[in-house]
Amino acid sequence: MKDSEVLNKLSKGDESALDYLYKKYYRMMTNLVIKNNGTEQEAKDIYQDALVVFWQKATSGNLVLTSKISTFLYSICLNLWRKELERKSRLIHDQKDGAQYSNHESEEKAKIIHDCINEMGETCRKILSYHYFDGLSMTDIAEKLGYANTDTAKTKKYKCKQKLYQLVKSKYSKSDFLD
Amino acid sequence: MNRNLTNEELVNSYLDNELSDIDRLDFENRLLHDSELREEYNFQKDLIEGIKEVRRLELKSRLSNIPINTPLYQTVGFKAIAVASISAGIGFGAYYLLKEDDNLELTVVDIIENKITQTDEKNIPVIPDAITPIFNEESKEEKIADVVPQEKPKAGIVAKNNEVKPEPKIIQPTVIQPDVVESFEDEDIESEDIGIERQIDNFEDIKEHVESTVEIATVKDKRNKFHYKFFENKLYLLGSFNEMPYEIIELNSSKGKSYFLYYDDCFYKLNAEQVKPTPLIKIENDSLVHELRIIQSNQQ
Repeated sequence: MKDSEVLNKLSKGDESALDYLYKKYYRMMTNLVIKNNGTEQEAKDIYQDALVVFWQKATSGNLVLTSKISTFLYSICLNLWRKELERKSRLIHDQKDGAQYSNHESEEKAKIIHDCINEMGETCRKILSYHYFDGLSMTDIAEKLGYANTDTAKTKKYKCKQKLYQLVKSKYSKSDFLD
Repeated sequence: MNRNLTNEELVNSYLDNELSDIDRLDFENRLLHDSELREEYNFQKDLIEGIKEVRRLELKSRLSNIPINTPLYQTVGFKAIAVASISAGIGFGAYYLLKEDDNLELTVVDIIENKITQTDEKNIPVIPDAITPIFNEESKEEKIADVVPQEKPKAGIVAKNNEVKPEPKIIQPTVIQPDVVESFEDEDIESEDIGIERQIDNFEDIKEHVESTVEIATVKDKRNKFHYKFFENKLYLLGSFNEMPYEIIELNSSKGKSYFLYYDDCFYKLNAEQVKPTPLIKIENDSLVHELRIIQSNQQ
């Protein structure tokens, strides 16, 4: 499959193109991390993160490639691994309890919201993901989910957002979230 | 800004980019001073971050479930199998090499016979008595095949055919002609490559360039760290080619196909006739490099 074909599929939110890329460049990208003091698991994580970043850029339609996909992915992996090494280095030297507490609190908040998202139906989860993460247009979302038109998709998205909003508010007290 | 909107609706519109530029500025100003609005904003932002995180994990989970086949050459048992295969290969190679030699001699015999059948009787040279054939007429073809390769008495065979006058249809010659490869004349890699470079440099003969169709394999090789070879229409890149992306550019011209490797921002010539590990030589010709870069960018 040519790069242009892959990119075209990705821009429409075709996840099979993501699978294709993952298999195609797995060894090359993970070797980059492994050769730079990373473990196999870290290499896998970094490569997956890089692909997710690439996916998000491609689906949102903001990606204009000036190089091969492999070159672009390689640079993302490299940057992510550098950041990870810096983070690990900071973690070793950072002994402040305050910072740890703050992280713990935000993790708790995230977990609460995750639970609520997972309680929603699959359609709501998809439509909110496609809109807020993938950045797909309402036309593409309507097509992917089989809606008659973009207005239907818009209405559905609004209702799903409301549903999540109410779900989180009803389950947990306001003080859990507001600083 | 529509003052009838609740904080919830206002924040929702802001986060969904549904506000005009003026309303956005107004909203951002209010955000600095209105604590209730800020609380609502933070709450909805957390929701969106949660949605994004769930999607990110979903995609990663999808990728984790994709089975990845470890290349054979990286498996533990590969070396043992490779050693056994090489030993077997040497054995079979030696066997077939000897066998090919036999065929070659038989082919020579066939060609000689063919010449005889097509030759006018008057033109057949007189054969001295001393090399009169010793074969019986009944089993002439079998004996030619059996005896000639061992003793190679070619003159004797000619005499035999001369005496018997074989009919043209009896023996169908099978002439196996090896492919003529120009590069065999000059084993110097350097001078060959310069020729290719000059040829491609013109770029007049190139009718089209296409994405490489040749099958490619990368092989880690301690001895050949930056080499290549072609074998059975497959390109082997020997060295650490899994560490950085590379590209193979295939050019189709009236004079055949030419291959180039792009690796670490440099181009290297690939000679499809090289069946033995050959060092990769960087192309220094600036105009050729420039042309290759144009082709490369057009391919993308």
